[in-house]
Parts: sequence; structure tokens; C-alpha cells
Amino acid sequence: MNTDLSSRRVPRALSVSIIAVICAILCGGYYFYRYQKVNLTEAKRNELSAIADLKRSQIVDWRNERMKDGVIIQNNPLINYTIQSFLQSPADVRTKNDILMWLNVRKSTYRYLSAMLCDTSGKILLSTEQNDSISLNTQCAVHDAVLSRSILFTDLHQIAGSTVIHLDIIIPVFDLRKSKKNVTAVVLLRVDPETYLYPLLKSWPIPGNSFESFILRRDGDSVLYLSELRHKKNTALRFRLAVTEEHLPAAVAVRTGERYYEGIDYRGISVVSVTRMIPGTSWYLIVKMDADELFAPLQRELQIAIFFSLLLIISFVSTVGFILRSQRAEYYRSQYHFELQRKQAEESLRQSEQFLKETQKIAGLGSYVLNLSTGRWTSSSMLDDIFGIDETYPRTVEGWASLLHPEWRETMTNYLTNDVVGRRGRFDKEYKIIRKNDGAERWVHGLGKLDFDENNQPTAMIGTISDITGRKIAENALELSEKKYRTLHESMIDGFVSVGMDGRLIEFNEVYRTMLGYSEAELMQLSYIDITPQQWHEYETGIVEHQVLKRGYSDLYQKEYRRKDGTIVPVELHTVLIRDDLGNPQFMWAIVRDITEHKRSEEKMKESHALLKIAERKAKLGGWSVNLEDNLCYWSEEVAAIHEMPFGFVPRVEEGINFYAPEWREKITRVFTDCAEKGISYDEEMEIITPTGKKVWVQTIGEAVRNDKGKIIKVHGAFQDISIRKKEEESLQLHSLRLKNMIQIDKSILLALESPEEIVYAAIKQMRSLLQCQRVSVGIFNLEKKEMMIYAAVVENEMVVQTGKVLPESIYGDIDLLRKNKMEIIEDESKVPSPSSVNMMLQAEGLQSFINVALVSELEMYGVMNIGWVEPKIITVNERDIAGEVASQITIAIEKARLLKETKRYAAELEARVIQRTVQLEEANKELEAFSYSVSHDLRAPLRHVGGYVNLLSKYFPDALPEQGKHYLSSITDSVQQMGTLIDDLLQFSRTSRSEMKMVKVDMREMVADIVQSYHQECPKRSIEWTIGPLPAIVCDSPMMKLVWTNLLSNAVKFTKPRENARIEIGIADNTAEYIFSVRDNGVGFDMRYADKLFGVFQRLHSKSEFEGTGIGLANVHRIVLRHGGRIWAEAELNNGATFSFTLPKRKD
Amino acid sequence: MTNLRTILLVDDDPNDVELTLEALSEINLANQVTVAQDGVEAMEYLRCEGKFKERKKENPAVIMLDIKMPKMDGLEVLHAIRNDEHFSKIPVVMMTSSHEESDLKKCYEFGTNAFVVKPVDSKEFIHAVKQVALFWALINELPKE
Repeated sequence: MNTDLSSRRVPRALSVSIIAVICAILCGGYYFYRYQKVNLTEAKRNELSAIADLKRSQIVDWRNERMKDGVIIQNNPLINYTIQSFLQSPADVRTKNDILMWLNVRKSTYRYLSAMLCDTSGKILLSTEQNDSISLNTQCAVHDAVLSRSILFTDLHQIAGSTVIHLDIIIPVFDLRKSKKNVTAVVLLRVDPETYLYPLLKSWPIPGNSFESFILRRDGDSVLYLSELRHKKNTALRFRLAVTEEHLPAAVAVRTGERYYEGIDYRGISVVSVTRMIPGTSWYLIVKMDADELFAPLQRELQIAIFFSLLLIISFVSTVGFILRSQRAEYYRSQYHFELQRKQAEESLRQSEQFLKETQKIAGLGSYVLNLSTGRWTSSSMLDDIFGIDETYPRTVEGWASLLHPEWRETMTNYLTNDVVGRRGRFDKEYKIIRKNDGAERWVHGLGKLDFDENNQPTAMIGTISDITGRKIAENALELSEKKYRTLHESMIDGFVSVGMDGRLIEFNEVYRTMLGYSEAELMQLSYIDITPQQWHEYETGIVEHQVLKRGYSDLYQKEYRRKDGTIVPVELHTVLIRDDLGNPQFMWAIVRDITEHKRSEEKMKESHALLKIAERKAKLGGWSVNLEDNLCYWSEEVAAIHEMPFGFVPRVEEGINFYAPEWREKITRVFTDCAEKGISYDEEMEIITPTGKKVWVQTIGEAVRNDKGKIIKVHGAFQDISIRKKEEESLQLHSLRLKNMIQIDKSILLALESPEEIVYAAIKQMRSLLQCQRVSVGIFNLEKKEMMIYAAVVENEMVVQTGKVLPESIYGDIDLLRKNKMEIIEDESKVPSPSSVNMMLQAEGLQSFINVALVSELEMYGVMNIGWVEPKIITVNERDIAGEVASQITIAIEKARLLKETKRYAAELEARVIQRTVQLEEANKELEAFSYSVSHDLRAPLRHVGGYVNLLSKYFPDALPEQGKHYLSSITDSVQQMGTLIDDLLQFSRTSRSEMKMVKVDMREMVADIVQSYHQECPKRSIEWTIGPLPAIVCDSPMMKLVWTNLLSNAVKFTKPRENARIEIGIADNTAEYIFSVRDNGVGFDMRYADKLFGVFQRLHSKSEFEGTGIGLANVHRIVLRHGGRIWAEAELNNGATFSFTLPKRKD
Repeated sequence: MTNLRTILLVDDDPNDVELTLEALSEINLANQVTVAQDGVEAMEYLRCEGKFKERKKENPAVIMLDIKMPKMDGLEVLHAIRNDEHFSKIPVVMMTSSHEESDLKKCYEFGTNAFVVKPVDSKEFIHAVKQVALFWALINELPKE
């Protein structure tokens, strides 16, 4: 165990190798970083070049497009023509306007700053902008363009006194019609770089924080930036730096042309850049980005490299460290175990010494020491004898437990662990064991006390065990006999009492005490005379004197006690006299039984016997017995009564059997014999016939009675009159059958409404089986033809009734009588004095009795149902009811079928009519549409032609007509115009009634305000005072409603024209059902006599010269209001204003 | 100047044709105007068939198309043009007397470039025709390649 710690030091070789590994990791990290840097620089350079190329091509494309604009302008013949015309006659306003319009179109389409037409010297002739001017540079460029006759671009520049940067495109224009191409004018388009060029430079195709691109050109000794920079404001055409700047990418670009360069930009920050030249210009395009951003990802790579290197180093070092540590820990652990074992050895030595000492002290007893930490115990040889064990026996707690008697095992182990060790108590217990060697049950007394260590923890238990079986047996025997006596005393269900010869109560048990209701102390003060009622004293004294004292005991006798609460308790008792050795009476014992219950049940018995008698009579139930020796039947009173024989009649068995109806005799003989011979019980329902000839249903029950030897000596049983029950059963059965049939009929009616014949057939078929009749038929009247047709029939084979056979109605005789009575019943045909023809017919068919039932509903009588039997028959109420019920079901079926048929026919008719109407309506609609279409098209065309030709006439022959003729022409023009308006209005009118309404919620106030606003603008000179009420929002067709308001308001405006101060008031009122809108004016009004003409088409109340209009407006309004479900009316007075009102219904939604 | 493309006017009413041509003449248009009497003829023109067999094979600059015509109406012509890859790019302006919204809707559904209701008033009519011709035949004319 003693290991040399110095050998655990880190060996030198290990240190060297650790350092080597760390170096390798660091080198790896560094090379990784280098590799990434080269890659990244290459990638960024390519990226910047690509972006520079892309931007260059975009700028070039843009310039080319502008160039094309110029080419288009040069070659457009119309423009050319117009420009030439203008140059020839500059005073022509129309041409001038045409050119200006065209320039404006150019300007706005291509977003030029301005577009101008200049003469060849560069003077502005026309411009889209007022006060437009041309810089000197541009003027030079114009000169160049005129000379070279080609389209030129100026550089980006500003006009003196303006900050707007622009470039000009100069387009020389030739006269296309002349073969010699002389420049006649110049079109100048002023381009705003902000529209495309600058945004293009600002935009960047990939995300980045320091990307920048700009254009510049050389300007003398400096570099001039032409666009705004990202990091510096106001640089375009303002910011310049010396060409000689050494590291400035811009200066380098101007000096050396296209290249990739890493330098320091205008901010003094190191950047990487790519330069491109723009062909056709003096511009250099530079795209660049900060070196920092470029190398930002590299920073991350570096961090990753460092991080992983460190991680590797740390994990390597810690692995080595861990191995060293665990070796050291192992060494300390082994030292600890060694020390522990030594201590344990000392401890056990101390225990054994103590054990010896104790054993010597308690001689004669078995002793033990239980080591609580190991659970093992050692024993003295005495203890081994007690337990009957040898050396090999396992001396553990489990070993001790298995010695215990099974009944004690759980108790004792719990006692040991919980009570003794757990609570640190003493072990002191008597318990049973089973001796190991001979299996004998032994009682032992175990004692023990716990031993504690210095920490006050129990370490062991030392104690003795002695065998106490002998003592235990003696104790147990005593205890048992005492217990037996006590148990007997207490467990008796009867009261027990000892009485002294003076009558005092000496001893009694709990039952006795409870019986009397006194407390124990109270009873001890009383004598038995005290608790016995007066009437028993003499009787009991007699028993004591004559029986107890004389012969030493009494017979069982009954008496009463009075309880403490005064109630009486009947008892039965038996008394015994106890004498002393000398034969002198010492005291008396009595066993007392409370017989209250017994008395009560006796009473009950008597009562129930009486009740049984009554019940027997009520139930018509009696008993009988047959003594097999003499073969005589003994009947109870009730049995005799059922047989209608006097009580006391004792028939022989054969005589008894003869009371049964002949069909039952064989059966009763058999079951009785079986019972008498084999002991088989029986329970039968049979019929007997009384001497008066009455048939009675009885239930007879028989049972054999055997003697001690098992021989059958007697048969007895019960006998009951069950004719009432039988009758009820039968009628119940009948009723349920009837019910079933009715349900069946109802069901078939529901299932087969389509075919009433089938229902009726099914119904009468059911009924025939129900009524056991030979024929059922249903005839239906045809009231018009006074005929009756057999609708359905069910007959027995031999009778022929044809379904479909037609009979005259009259054969039923008085139909009205049948309808009134609903039913005609013939029980015996031959006894009818004056048979109707149908009766005779039925008789001819062999029917003797029948029921005719009218099939009558509330509406009418449909027919007759006939039910017939071949024999005369008494028809019961039941049968009559069935017939009636079935008849009403059939009536319902027929009625329903008819109604259904009617309804279907009516529905079909209605549908046909609807289809027809729809077709008509559709045709009419189509016609209307075609009509209005041709009005729209065909009516307008000739009108247009008239106007057109009048126009041509006055254009080409202005002098051919005198003044009067010209006046006529202008009248024609006016009329054409008027008719055009009229046609349009008419079309609008027809459309209002045709077009579909799109209902939306419209704010009326807003709508009206809009219209009023438009009048303000139209006639600003008029003074109109508008008053607009709180108009609601309403669900309506918005364009239509606008038409309504426009018409009404324009009318109001129109008719108030003569008023200096016009007043127009728009009001609103409402009731529960509708809104009422009104427009009141103080205009010329109208005569109410003509009010009804207001809303017709072409109705005018004013001459056209007074007020313009086609007369369709109000007709339109009227129609729209009607289509919205409202009304419209007008009130007025000539020259005193008018009020137009209309209503719109309130909608619930 | 002869290389300016034709304006195709399709209208069955000789009066309308005359008035339209008159209106066109007011703007001194250099383009040739060809008249087709109905839809069938218009299609023949486009396909260089029938009496237009000999014409130079070039699509017109614009087609001014009436709606109500015998044989083949304007809507059918429009539909046919828009469904023929050779003609589908030709600007078509519907010129009609019809106010009907259904006509308007249908024309735009079929892909007309504009819908002009011929005004009754002759001055307005001339103005409308001029505007149509100016816009579609000239301003929209493509540069020569």
C-alpha cells in the first residue's frame, strides 16, 4: 500500500510531447487562416469586377436608349412635317400647339427634365418649360451637332445659377421631304440623371455596408466627382481632388485606366476598388468597398482558428491532468481501508470480553450477544439447548426469526426492529418458539439490553433467554376455565339469575339486567317479588312451595315481570334449588327467557289464519287432499263452492274426475296417477262442469305427500276458479290482435300513399282474418254517374266478387240513411222484412249476416265497406268497433290519395303556367333589348350623318348659301344635337327599368353634398342657399339613386333661375316603415292641375324656351323610386315654389 | 412617305366612311387609309386574300372597327384578330354608335385597345377621329429599323 508518490510526477518526455502537440495545433491554425485570406481576396476581387462590368453595361445601355430616342425623333415623319410647317410659319398657333403637345408627351413619357425645339444656332424656339435656358457648353454642342449632323450628348453639367445637374441630348432635325439633308432645327432633350443614372449608381446588387460606386472624370489637374458619394454629401460636380494623389483610387484610375487597386479613398480609409471606363464618354466608373468589410469574414475565420486551437490544447492538457489525479486518488483510498479494518478487529475483541463477563454473571440462563451492525449473534451452550440448535445453525436475525413460532414471527421481528432497536428500549417479551431439534412448541422469556458506542449509536444487544413453558401451561389452564365460565354466563341468550331464599337477587347476567332495564346496583337492592306484577305473586309462590322446595326444581312456567319503566315483559322460566352440604336450601337459580316475540307471533298467526280464509274466498282458491288408502277426496269449503257442492261432500277420486269436462278427463287422470304413483307434481289449467251445467276454468295443483319411509300416502293441492282471468286473457289477446292490425293498417297507409288500392286491400285482408268473416269488399261511389265500383275485395274461394265491377248506386238503397247511421247491421238476412237490392244480392252470394259501413269523411261519403258471413251471426260490439275503425282508416287513405293526386295535378299545372310565362317574359325582354340596341345604334347613325353633312356643306360651300340658309343649317345642327341628347336620355330611361339593381349601403348626405358641390362649380354666379337635412345612409342602387338626386336637384336649380336669391331645402322625415325625402325650392312652381303629368315620359310643364330639358328626367326618377319600393309626388303652386317628395322603405337588414 | 403603314377603316355605312375619311383628311395624314365594307373584307385584307391579294404584305398601323356590320360583325373581327398570332399585336379601336355597356364590356374582354362612341355632334366626331388617328397611327408609330 505504501506507494512512492514521486513516481507519479509528470515525466519529462510527456512534457516535451505536450509542447510539441500545442505547437502543431498553432501552426495548423495559422495556415488555415492564410489559406482563407487568399481565397477571400480573390473572390471579392472577382465580385467587384463583375459588379463594375454590370454597372458599366447598364450605363452604356441607358445611353444607347437615349440615343435611340433621338433617332426616332429624327425619323418620325409626322413630327418632321409639323416641325417644318412650324419653321415655315411660326405664327401658326395650331402647329405650335401640336409641337408643344408632342414635346410634352416626350418629356412625360421618358421623364426628361424638359424637351425643346431650338434653331440651328441654339436659340430656344419652343420649350416645355417656361424660362428654359441653355448653357454655353450645350450651345457649343448644338453647333457641333449641326455640323456633324449627328446626335450628341453633353456632359453632366449645371446651368449657371441653378443647382440642377443634367445632360442634354442634341438631335439635329432635317427636312425629310427634301433630298438634301440640311439641318433645319434641333430638338434638345434635357436628361435628369436622378431618374436613372444616379439611382443605378446607388443601387448595389448584393448586400454590404461599405459598397460604393460613382463616376468621375478628369478636369484639368484634378479629378471631378460626377455623382453623389455614399459617405460625403454634395459631391456631384463640386468635389474634386488632385490627380497626383498617390493612393487615391480615383486618381489612380484617371492615371492608369481600368484596373484592380487597393488604396486609400477620399475619407482616408483603406479600400479595394475596380475601375471601368464608360465608352463614348470621359467618365470613369469606380466600384469599391472598405478593406475592413472585405476582411471581416476573415476575422471570424481567425477567431474560429484561435478558438479551436485553444480548445484542442485545453482538452489535451486536461486529459493528461485527469489521468494523473485519478492515480493519486487510488493510493489514498487503499490507505483508508487498511485503517478501518484495524479498528474493527479491536471492536470485536472488546465485545467478546464483555460477552464472557455477562455469561458468568447470569448462570443457568441462555445468553446471547447480537451484533447490530452485522445482524449476527453468538449464543451460550445453554441457549443452544433451549433453541435445540447446534454450532452449524446460522446465528443471524433471520435464523432467530425462523426459530419463532409462526404466530409470533411477525410480532417478534417487528418488536425487535421497531420497539427495541428503533426506540432504543429494553427487550422483554415472552414468546413461543419451535425447538429446532424436536419441533416442540416452547414458551421462552427473552430479556436484552442495547449497547451503545461513543456516538450513542446502538452497536449490539446483550441478553438472556429462559425456557418458561412449564409456568406458561399452568397459567393458560387457569385462564381458560375462568374464561369459559364467564363466556357461558355472558353468552347465554337467556337471562340468568341467582336468588337468595329471602327472594333477594344475588347474581344475574347482562341479558337479565337488560331485560328489566335496571342498573346493576339497583337490581342488587331488589327481590324478585318487587319486579313481579301483583297477579303473579300467588301463582309463583305456589310454584316455589310445591315444586322448587319440594323436589329441587320447577317445571317450565310463564309469568310476567315489570320493567323499570313500568312496561310488562312476559317471560318463561325454569328454577333450580341449590342446597349446601347439609342439604339446607342455599339459593335458587333461574333461567329466564323473554317471550315477548313469541307471544306476538302467536297473535299474528291467529290473525293471518283469518285473513287467509278471506283471501281464499276472494281468490276462489281452496285446498284438497286425497287419502290414497281410502281414495276419498277431502275438499275445503272453497273447493266445494267452486264445484257448486255443499261443504262436507267427500267424493271418491273417480267422482272428482268426472266433474272435469270430458276433453280434460283423460289428462287429469294421467297427471293425478303420475303424482300418486311417481310423486310428480302438477299444475294445470282445465275446465270443469258444475251440476248446473256451468263451465268453469280452474287451476289445479297437486303434490304427493310421503310418510317417514318415503311411501306416498297422500296427494294434496290447491284448486282455484280462474274463469275471470281466462276471460280477461282472451279479451286481452283479442284486443292486442286488433291493435296490431290497426297499426299494420296505419303503417301500410303511411308506406303506400301512392296506391290506395293496395292499402285498402291490405286493410280488409287483415280485417277478414280478424273478424273470421267470409267476405270483405269496398265499393267506391262515382257521384256523377250514380255508380259504384268494387274497389277491392277479399273473399273465400267459392265466392266471386270481381274487383272493378260496376254497380248502380241505387242497390244500396237509402244511401243518405247509411251516411247518417254510418253502419247497417244485418244479423240474419232471412229475418229482414224488406231487404234492399244489395241485401238480396249478398244473400244470393250465400251470405246470411253482414255489416255495411259507410266510408264517410268530413268532406264526403266515398263508398261502402261490406263485411259478410255465410251463417247468421250475433255481431258483437267488438266486431262492430273493428269494422268502424278499419272503415275510418280506409276513408283516410282514400282521402289522402285523392288530395295528393289533386295537389300534384295542380302543381304541375302551375309549373307549366310559370314556364310559359317565363318564356313569354324572356321573349319580351329580348325584344326590348333588341329594340333599345337598335335605337342606340341605328337611330344615332343617321343623325350623325345629318350633322356631318351639314358640317361639310358649310365647310366646302361657305358662300353658296345666303345668311338665311346658314341660319337654317345651324338650326339643323341644333336639332341634331337635341335629338342626340333625347335618344341618350330615352336609352337611360329604358335602362333604369331593365338593368339589375346592385344594392349597397349609400350615405345619402354625402351623395347629395357631392351633387350640390358640382352645382356650385357649374354656376358660381348664382346665389343659391342650400339647406341639407340629416340624411341617413340607405341600402339602394348607388348610380340610380344618384340619378334621382341629380334630377330633382337640377330641376330645383333650373326652376329657381329667375329668383335672385334661390333657396333649395333638402329635408328628411321618417316613420316606422319608410324614409321621406323632400326637395323644396322657391322657384317658379307649377299648376297643381297638371301634377299628374309630371312623371310621364315627354311630359313637360314648361316651354322649352323657358327651361331646357327633354322631359324624361322625372319619368326616370319615378321609375327608380318605384323600383326601390318607394313613392314619389310633388306639391307646388304656380310661381310659389315646388316640393318634390319621395319615400324609400326601411330595410330590416 | 409611301412606307408609312396603312390605316384600316372597317365600316359598312358609306356615310360613316365618308365622314370618317373627311375627318382624317383634316390632319393631313400621310398614311394610306383602306376601307373594308364589312368584317369579311377586313379579314381578307389582313390575310391578303380576295381583292387584296396583290397588296404589300404588311400589317396596318391601326384598325378602326365598327361593331354593327353585316356578314361578320366587329366583335367577331376583333376576336379573330386577337386569336391570330400574326395580327394579335395590331392596335384595334372600336368605333361605334352603340352606347351599350354590354358591347363595351365584350370589346374589352376581347382585347380592344380603345372603345370610341361616335359622337352625334359633327365637330366632336371629327375631333374624336383625329385623336384616334393621331395617337394610334402616328404617335405610336414605331421607328424605322
